[in-house]
Amino acid sequence: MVAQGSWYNNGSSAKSRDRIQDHAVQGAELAQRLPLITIEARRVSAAVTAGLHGRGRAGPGENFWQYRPLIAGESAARIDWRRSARHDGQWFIREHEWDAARTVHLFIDRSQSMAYASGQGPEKRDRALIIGLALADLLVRAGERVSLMGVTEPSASRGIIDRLAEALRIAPSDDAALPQALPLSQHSMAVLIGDFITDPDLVARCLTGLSQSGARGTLVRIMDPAEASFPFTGDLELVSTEATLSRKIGDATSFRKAALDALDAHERALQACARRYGFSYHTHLTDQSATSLLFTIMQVLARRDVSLMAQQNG
Amino acid sequence: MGSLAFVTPLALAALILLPALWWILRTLPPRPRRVMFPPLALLLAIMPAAPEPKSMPLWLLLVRVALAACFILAMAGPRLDQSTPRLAGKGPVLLIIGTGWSAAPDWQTRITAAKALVDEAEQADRPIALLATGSRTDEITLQTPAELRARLTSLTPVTFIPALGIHKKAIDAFFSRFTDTEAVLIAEPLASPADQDVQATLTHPFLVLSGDDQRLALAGARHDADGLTLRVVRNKDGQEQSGRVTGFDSQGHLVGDALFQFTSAAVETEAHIKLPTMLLNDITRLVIEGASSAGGVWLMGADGQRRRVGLVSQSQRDKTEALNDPAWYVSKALEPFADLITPPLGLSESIDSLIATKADMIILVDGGALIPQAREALQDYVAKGGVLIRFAGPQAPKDDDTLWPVKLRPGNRSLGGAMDWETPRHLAPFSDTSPFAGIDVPDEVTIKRQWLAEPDADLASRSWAQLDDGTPLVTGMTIGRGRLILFHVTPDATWSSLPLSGLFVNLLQRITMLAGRHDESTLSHPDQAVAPFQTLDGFGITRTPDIDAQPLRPALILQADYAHPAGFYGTRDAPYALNALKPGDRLTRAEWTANATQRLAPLSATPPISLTPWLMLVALLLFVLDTLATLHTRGGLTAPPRRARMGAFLLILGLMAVHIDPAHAVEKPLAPKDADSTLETHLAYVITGDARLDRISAEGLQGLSDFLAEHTALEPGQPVGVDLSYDALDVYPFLYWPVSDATATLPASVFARVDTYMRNGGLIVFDTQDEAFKRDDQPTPEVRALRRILSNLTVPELEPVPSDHVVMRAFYLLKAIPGRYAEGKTWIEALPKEEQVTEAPARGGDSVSPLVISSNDLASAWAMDRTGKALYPIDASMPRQRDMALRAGVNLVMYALTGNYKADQVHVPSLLERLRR
Repeated sequence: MVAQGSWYNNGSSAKSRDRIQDHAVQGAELAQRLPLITIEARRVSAAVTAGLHGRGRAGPGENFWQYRPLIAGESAARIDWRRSARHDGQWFIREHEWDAARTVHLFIDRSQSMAYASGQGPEKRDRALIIGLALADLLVRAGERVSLMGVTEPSASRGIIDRLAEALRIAPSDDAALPQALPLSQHSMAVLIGDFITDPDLVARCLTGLSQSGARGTLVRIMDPAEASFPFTGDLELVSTEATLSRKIGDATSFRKAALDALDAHERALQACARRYGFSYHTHLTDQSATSLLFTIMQVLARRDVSLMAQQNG
Repeated sequence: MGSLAFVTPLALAALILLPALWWILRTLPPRPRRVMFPPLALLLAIMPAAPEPKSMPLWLLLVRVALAACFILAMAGPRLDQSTPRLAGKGPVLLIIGTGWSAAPDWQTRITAAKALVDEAEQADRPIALLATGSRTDEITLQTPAELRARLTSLTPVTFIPALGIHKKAIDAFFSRFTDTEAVLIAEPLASPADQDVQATLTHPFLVLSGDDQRLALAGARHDADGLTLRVVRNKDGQEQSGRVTGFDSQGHLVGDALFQFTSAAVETEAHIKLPTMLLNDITRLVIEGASSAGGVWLMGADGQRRRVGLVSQSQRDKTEALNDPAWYVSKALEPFADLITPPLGLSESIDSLIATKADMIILVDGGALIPQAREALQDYVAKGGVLIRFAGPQAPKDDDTLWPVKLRPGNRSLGGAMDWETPRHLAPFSDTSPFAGIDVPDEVTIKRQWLAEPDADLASRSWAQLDDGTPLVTGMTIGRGRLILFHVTPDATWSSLPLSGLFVNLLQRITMLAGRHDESTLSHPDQAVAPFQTLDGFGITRTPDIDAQPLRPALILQADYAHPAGFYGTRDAPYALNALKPGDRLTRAEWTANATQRLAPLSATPPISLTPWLMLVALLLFVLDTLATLHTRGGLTAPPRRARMGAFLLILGLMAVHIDPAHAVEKPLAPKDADSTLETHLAYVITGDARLDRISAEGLQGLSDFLAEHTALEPGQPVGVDLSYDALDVYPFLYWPVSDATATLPASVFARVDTYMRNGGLIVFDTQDEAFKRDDQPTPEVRALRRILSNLTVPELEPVPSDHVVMRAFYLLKAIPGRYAEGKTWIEALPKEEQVTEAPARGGDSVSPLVISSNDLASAWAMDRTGKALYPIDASMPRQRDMALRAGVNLVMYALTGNYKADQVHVPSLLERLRR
């Protein structure tokens, strides 16, 4: 699956073979860490669940929502006779909670650049997996169906965390920083979790593809604090995670401002790109709490629901 | 004035690399720190095209070049020589070295000083000559420095203190030949008594190099009532000093030792070796520990041995009349230097028992007649090498009694009696051929009565002592290998005052010395020259004699000199010992005072100071500085993260806890391992920490356990290794402790535990495993370690395991306790002395010995694998040694378990007998 992943990839074949081996090793390491990650994901998800409320509206579903008086013109078949019998001269309709199951397509970037931690937080990849799995759990509980793009089919299983973790474990390691730009169905949503160290144009192309049929979603950018603040001093040689790229930059302090400017420009380009395609955009630093991010995402998704409903209804 | 020199000046050539290093360091910038930064790709656009290399700061460059320079200089081995040149003049240099034994302890220093002088003279291109005081030279010749160095290297100290005075002629000749001679004397700490005023004798200008050194020497050994007393002398008083004298036998085995102690004012003291006579007689060489010179060695010849003398006296006189008892005088005279045996039996029986017990000398105190059987027995005894002394008696000699050295006239001669004309006679000086030659004759000895001899041809040669009228007083003759001696007076004061005088003691002593010397030649000709067969060198080490060592006449040469090095002369059976000092000698200090012509200087020059360590230290500091600076410039010098600091702290704390733990962990409940041992008997060994030793112990005890299970009712469990400081010892009845050099420092608490274990009935088998490595004069490291251990424990009196000890009878009937080696003695707690000899085949004390000490490496012999195959070789000096070793092991275990039970078993027959009755 050599996709648009490393757009700067110009390494020799020997190097890439080494890297594949590295990936295998890292994949094994990741597989070892997965149980811990699933536990952490469950914890995060539980913490968020406690604070979430239901969707709070009537709609197609199985759970009882409310009785309401029959409005003239409605089908008599919808009358709840048992309830109506208790009330003289009035007919009630039993409404179920709106339970429209939609599909949320998750993408978690597992490329090399995600396997980085400056020491102030966990690896970006770990944090991405925690957030992705916890989000999947929350969504499934909320009645959505979740798929891992390119890995699993949509599923509403209660044990979604384990299912996804197992799928990740046996899935071939993936160096793609972005999902395949296949159009998603209109009512589905895409949640892309990664560091987006790519050309914003590529991101735009990907989002174009994904949102072709009207799907919307969220970009979650995971960053190490060091990546955001460029805290280095002294005489430096910068090396990319794949060790394919290295540049001597001289004194880091003097380079810092230019670097921060460039990083900031990239960030802004990503934001603009997301906005353009109707995606929400979040930046998460690995030294921050995953819970608060999940809260934000869930609220945003819920609001998106409202807007979707509005779209559907209107 | 110091001068700088280099040991390896060639290394300085590397200094030319420094400019190159400078250039390289300047050109090559320091490597930047590599930092992983995933978003690097985002920054590619704004990368500076070629970031300008950060050149090394000048000071860092200087630090690095200085580091390299320091290192190169250190490798060159710079030395700051602080010594001043010794030589000042221009002419030839005369080097005189005192090579007496007192120079031996610091011989190398002296030779080094001499070589330094040779070097100095060579550098100044001055001719040089060498005079060693220990060798005789008529003329001192100039030699090349190379020859001199070779001579100095091969020079060894001699076994006496040579006098400087005798070289005066040669020195004078040298000075008259080369008037501008500069003489340097490397003086030894002791002076020959002949050099009364050596400084006045040697009038020439001298530079005297001397060290103010303490020297110890042995000057005299004498037997007394219960041992051997040694006279230890030193050349300097002023402080207290103690030491040890050890005695070795002719094979070099240590026989005994004694301590001596100088009070601060004393220059001589005594050491007393207390040993049974038989053992004392084995001592041939006494050595002051650490003296390492010929003066610190005292050789004991045949005359130094204590003789066993039998006294036969028929008169059973009352003790209150001691002064009338002839035996009393003889025994008083002999007591200081001989062991007296007086059998309380009849005449013949006494003689028989003395001959049977191999007395060196028999004295018949009474002048009475002998019955023929006794006479024949005595004749035989003398012919086989015994010495028989007879005295005159009141009764005239009988005709049939022919056991006299000379033919006696009937009757006796009375001098100075009331009815006599003649006055009591005095003694004539002893002739040179007499065995008494050299003994002074005091005037006070008078003879009033004597037996007379028939004059014949042999009389003169057989007369050892004569009166001033030529009549014999003491006559002697050789019979076979022995000697028959007759005193023509009685041994009491009635016939003469001889028994009252010191001369009597001297005569008896001289005769006693003859006893036991069975060599015909030395016996009949005491003044015949005897050749050396073993000599000492100046260091006090025994060697084969030099080719120029001359034979000597024992009576004339009493002290080592040029021709006669200290050593043993004569034959090995009856050696004559020549020592560096005479009995009674004192050490004379060589006193040198500076005067107009003679300068003084210390012997050892200030050693040059090596600057290498300091340069290395500076280089190291520079290196640390460089490392810190590099870290700083690369931006890596930050405080370690909090967690790392915490971790380091916890780690240190943990290490401390590990360190502290044992002290607190002494008393604790029984470990599972030990608890298991309460249910089943396990053999145990002490874990020494030496993995090899511990493995052998485990394998050995496993082999022994298997053997026990196979042959006895005891089926021990797995052998257990115990840590003395942790494990409960009480549950193991048998503890094998291989002592190695490493088992040395155990804390006092451990010794207290071991002590308790031993007191409570445990048996520890100490095994030094060093039988093959034992040397005579030096204890092995293992023995020293064992001594260290035992000095902290309560150890009972020990003895080599007697053959009737119950441990030899506990299961198998054994003759020895062999292991890998069979010769080593095994020591065990001494059994109480039995009042009378019992016929019991086994003896055991009241309790089990708390320890057994072996040097035979028992475990190696016991070690077997599961198939019964031996794991280690044994020296197989005993038939079926491995089987015997295992049997001995069984006996040791049985002894530990059953104690003296087997010793009690011997009473079973009598008990049964009693029951039947």
